[in-house]
Amino acid sequence: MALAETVYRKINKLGIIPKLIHLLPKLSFIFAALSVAWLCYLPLDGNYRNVYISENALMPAQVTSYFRESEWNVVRGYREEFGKLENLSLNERNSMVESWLKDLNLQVSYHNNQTLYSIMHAPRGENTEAMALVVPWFNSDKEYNEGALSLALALIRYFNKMSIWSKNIILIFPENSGKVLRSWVEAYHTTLDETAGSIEAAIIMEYGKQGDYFNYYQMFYEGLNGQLPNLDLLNTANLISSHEGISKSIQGYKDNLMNFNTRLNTLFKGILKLSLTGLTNDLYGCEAFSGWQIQAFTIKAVGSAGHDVTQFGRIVDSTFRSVNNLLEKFHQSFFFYLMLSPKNFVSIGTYLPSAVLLAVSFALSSLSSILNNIKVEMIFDNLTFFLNIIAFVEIGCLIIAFTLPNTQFFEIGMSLLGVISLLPNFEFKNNQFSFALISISLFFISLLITALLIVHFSLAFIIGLLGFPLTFIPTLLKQRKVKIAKLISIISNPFFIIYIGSRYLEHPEIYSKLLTSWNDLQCWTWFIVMLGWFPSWILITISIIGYKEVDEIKKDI
Amino acid sequence: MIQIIWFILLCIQLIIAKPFDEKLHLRPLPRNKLLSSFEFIIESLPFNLQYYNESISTNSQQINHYTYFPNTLGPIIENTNTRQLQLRFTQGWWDSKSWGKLPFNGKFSGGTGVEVVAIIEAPNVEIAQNNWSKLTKILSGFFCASFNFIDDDITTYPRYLTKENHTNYLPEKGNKLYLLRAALPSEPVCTENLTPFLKLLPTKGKAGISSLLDGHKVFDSLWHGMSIDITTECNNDTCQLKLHQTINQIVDIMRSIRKKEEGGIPKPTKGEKLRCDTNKTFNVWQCFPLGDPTEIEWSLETIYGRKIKGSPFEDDSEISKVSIDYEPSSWNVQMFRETDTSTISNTISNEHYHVDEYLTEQVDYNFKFSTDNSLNTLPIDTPPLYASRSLTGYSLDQGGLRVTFTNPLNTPVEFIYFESVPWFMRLYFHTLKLETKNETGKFIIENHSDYIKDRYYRPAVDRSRPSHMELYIEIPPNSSLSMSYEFDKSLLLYREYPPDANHGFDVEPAIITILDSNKSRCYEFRTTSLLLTLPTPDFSMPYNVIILTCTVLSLAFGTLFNLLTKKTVTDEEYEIEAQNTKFAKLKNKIKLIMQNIKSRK
Repeated sequence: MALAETVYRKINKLGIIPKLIHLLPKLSFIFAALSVAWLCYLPLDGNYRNVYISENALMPAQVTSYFRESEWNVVRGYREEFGKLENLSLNERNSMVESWLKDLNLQVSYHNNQTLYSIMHAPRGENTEAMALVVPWFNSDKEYNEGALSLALALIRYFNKMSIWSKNIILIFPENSGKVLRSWVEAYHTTLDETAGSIEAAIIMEYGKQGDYFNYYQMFYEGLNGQLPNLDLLNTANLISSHEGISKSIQGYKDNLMNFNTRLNTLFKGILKLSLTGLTNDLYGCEAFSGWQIQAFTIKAVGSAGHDVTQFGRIVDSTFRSVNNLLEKFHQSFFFYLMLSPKNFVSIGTYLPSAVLLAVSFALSSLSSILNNIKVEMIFDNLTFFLNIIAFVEIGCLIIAFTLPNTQFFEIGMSLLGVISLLPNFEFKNNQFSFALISISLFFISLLITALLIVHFSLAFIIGLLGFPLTFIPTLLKQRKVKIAKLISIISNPFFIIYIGSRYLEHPEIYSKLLTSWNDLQCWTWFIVMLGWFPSWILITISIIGYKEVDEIKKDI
Repeated sequence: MIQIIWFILLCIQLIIAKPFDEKLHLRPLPRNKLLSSFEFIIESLPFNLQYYNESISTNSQQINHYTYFPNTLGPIIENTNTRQLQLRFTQGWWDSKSWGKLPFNGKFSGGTGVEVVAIIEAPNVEIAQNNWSKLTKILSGFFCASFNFIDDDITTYPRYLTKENHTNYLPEKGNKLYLLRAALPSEPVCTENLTPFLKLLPTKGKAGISSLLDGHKVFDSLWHGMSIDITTECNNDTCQLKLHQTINQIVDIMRSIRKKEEGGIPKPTKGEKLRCDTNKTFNVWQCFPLGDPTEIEWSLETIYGRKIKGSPFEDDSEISKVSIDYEPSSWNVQMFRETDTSTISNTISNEHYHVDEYLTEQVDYNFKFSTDNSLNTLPIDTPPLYASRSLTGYSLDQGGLRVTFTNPLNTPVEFIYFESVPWFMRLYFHTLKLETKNETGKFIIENHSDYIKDRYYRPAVDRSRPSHMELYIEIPPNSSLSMSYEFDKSLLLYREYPPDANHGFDVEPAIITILDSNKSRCYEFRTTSLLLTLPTPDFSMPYNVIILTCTVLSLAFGTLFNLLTKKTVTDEEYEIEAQNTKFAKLKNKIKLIMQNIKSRK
């Protein structure tokens, strides 16, 4: 305590606090810069960790997979027959697969008369746990998923021969890996009659028409709302494929060449991808399992030379054998992590400071707006006014957030939202109101980031980064640069940014998907934008409009 | 003289009653599966059964010989005043759509894990509970199962089930019969449970049909169930203990054949052995696989790796029986009698889809089944009801349970649904929803009494008893009924979590007892067990909490201590004081010396 007293006395003596208050805008900027720098610093050697298997029971790649030799003949046999089905209707395709599965002594069920699924009950199994193997008829490239379909049939035939299973295996054939699969997963946990217990892990296979060989595989694992599968599951599959000598890629970077650049790019692409999951047309199927405590990933074969198709099957076989070993649920390893490469990752404790710094930056800016421009008592004197205006904006946003997705002209609606809020022309009776309102909004964003940073770090970080120009506004207003402030306000309009961003990322569908993703996939990004980011922007814009430029100057003269 | 007559009478009675009887029942099922059930019946000598009272030591051991009835089990039963005991060891999922009805109409098949039901004679419920506790603890060691974990918080007192469970035993005056039941759904059933099972038999698994029972083979099935039932049957003054043991299993014949030919490792089939569809592209590289072969041949040795080692007792001929149900038009069954020197085979003729063969000689028996079309089996008996039960929802604080009953028949079906869930599932009965589905569509049922005719519910008490629900349900022909309700998940105390807390908690299977038109039991089966995820703490967390708490406490203590012990001074007073400390004086001296050195230069 003595030390704290001394420091406190020194601070008082030297007058550091007033100096700091004066420096707050600069400090805020430094914190934001540090936040980005922190992330860039992570891919440096020594800051990240190598992946490892945390759950001993998994024992990946400890068994010899016999999905080889004559099994390849079977895969080829199925592939030719699947090839003939490509142009048939879903019902015709399903009935064909149904007859093949019945030949293998498996029973078949349907969800909504369209999604076929079959449960292989584990011999002597308790029927309480399951693993899911998902094979969409058309993969994420809209390509006929011929290779994966034939592999799935050959695999289930092979699984059926073994008596070692302790968990049931569910084979699912959705039309694609988007909404249809999501609705199956939801039905499995609510209304389906034929169930096989809680699903511990799910693998989505994508193997197009490249035939017998593939070069490497891509792994997709991002779930909705910032959810990720347990790191142990990804590691298991990757370790198994390493034993097979197959290389893999995460975020488009293969594991055979790794350096600072690839790690940095993987990190930032991963952040972007995680925050945009469910908002783009790129649905890989692993998102569909989010929210039900199911660990899921997608593997997609790329290239047409190198490894043979049964090796792809062996990854699935061996991963299932590992998961089958589990006595407990996946809980040992990380649920929050950022991948730097298939072999390196950073865990939540290491990357979290970045978002914390960003939240602090907004908080400092908010403080600066109050301490440098107004008397704090003023806020308490006009508390009802502020509460009214905030409540008005929030309730307005809330109504729009729930009604807009259900209307048909939401794209126009969203574009109008940005414009309308700039139209009104009024002035506050005192410029202190502007600063107070801005301060409250910035503090609101800071709180938003803090609340989000553990559950959905990526979204928190991106909102913080995109909304960062808003922190300049109080300083600009103080310097009477109202026009620049207005410009910044227009640029940092959430919908403007999303519009530009979606064009830049070549995913123009983000704009409309943002609205429909809640109804289709239960992705709550729309509500975060609509109830967190957008109202703060509106409040700041109102403050800029209400700022009395001329009056103040006259008074000062 | 009287004694001699008595002895002769006893011998006659022994001969008539046949104190030991065993039967192996085999039935090929569609898709190359086999249902095999072993049944053993053992009876004790009649004796004068009395209520055992610990405080009166004189009547401790009434008899010390039970003939074939196991001597080890008798005293346990008597000392706990157990009048009826049922043990069920089951593993696996019964595929009723492919295999039809359970063997013995489900009378001897439990749900996943183990089950104990006992009828105990006692003057009041406390004594019954004590005896129950004693019984389960002794059985625990006896059968190598975790019966010792049976406690009040999983014991139920079934109501509707009691109606037919009574033996013809009448309790002594002032005593009552109590029916207690408990299930351990997470108990794995394995060879250590089979060994004590075999030890109860007079043949000890060395002769008769029990010589087939090898742990490796019995437990490598698709589904298996073991049952042990002890009943007390009384006739006037004397009573008899009757032991009824069964082992039922579904064997995957193709897997047994493959294991015999290729060993246990599922190595890829040799190219030339692949069974391919020749109507589709077929060459050295490509093969569209056909289903299992239909022309197969197997014997008991293929499945059990052994032959039946002769009749159980040399002097007693008609106590061991093998009965086979099969379709004679496409199956051919041969019986082999093998000795060291010769093998005699004879084809069994069958005109009624059912044959019985007695094992009478001391030779090795083997039965060989061959067929040109294994798909042609006797039609399976459609069970009167299908049921599936699953958990719904995903959150850690609440969940739901959903059961779907499907009546495949053209007649309405009445049954009792017995469900007991652990106390940490807090049920909300008001959330009970019924939905029915038939050809015309789905309907939500508002008036529950149309389907649930009668109900009994005993709510759970935290840590001391489970919830217990018995519903009397009627389902119209060709329709299905879905029943769902919600519950809250409780947070357990730190020490209440099992070592594998993250596995989840097993919820015991529900029992469905189908009643016929006379309201008597005609079929019984279980739903699957469920795996419930409870909020599970990170078990290293308490240490973090301890560390944080200690830090906060020490900070608070330090501040308080400072306030109490130190003198409060103003800033100016402090400045003056600060100049007079020894350290400040030393600092000043050094400063002075330094200045002196500087000035000298």
